[in-house]
Amino acid sequence: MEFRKVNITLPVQLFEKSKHLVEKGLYSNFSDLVRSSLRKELKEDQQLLGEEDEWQRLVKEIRADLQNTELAKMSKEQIIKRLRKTREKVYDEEYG
Amino acid sequence: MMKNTDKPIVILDTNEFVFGLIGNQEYPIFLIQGLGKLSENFDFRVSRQIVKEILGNIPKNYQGKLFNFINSGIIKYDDKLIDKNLLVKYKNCGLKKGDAVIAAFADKENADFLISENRHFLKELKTRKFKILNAEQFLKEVIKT
Repeated sequence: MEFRKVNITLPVQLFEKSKHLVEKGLYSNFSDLVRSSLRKELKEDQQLLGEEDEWQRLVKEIRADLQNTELAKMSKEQIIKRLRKTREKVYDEEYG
Repeated sequence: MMKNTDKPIVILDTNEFVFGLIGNQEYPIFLIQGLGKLSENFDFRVSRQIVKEILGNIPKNYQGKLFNFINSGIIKYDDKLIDKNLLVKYKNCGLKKGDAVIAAFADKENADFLISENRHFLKELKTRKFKILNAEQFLKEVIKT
């Protein structure tokens, strides 16, 4: 198996907690803990993605269609602000 | 109201569709892409308010396609207005008027989950009627079970 060395930056608290798990003997060393966590994470993502079905093809198609719209060029915060305005506008039309 | 489904009922808020279909937020994308498979175990629902908000934010030439997508059977769409008394109940919980419509819909549908990236829901609404999670929390909970 080929290995690649990587440098990662972690919040101190997360590092300390991880180190504690290694000290308790749950993992042989810090690299072992990171490898194990990544495998778990990848497995979960795989489960979510699975094989592409009809629905996923439709979602992909719509995502491609909508990539040139105004909303696609906005930041998360701008989108939230815009959705907030729309929510109030729809409320006023329906219940105001 | 009695539930007419054995599956947990999940209300999807507007922002999950917008982030899932347009944005680059990882978990809403996973959620929307995964709805086909997840619908085997969950009953996904949206309200009139949610659909109007989604359609109100995309160009007119895509609205028909998106409406058909929402109506394709994976998600149940309820076109009815919410009872005003139920709206008042959630406004009195401190929610903004538009958010109260979504919470009231979740209540009316006897939902088990309300999935939203809206921090107001996540922080301000304390209810035992349904669980309020964002896409990441919901998907992690699904995997656990």
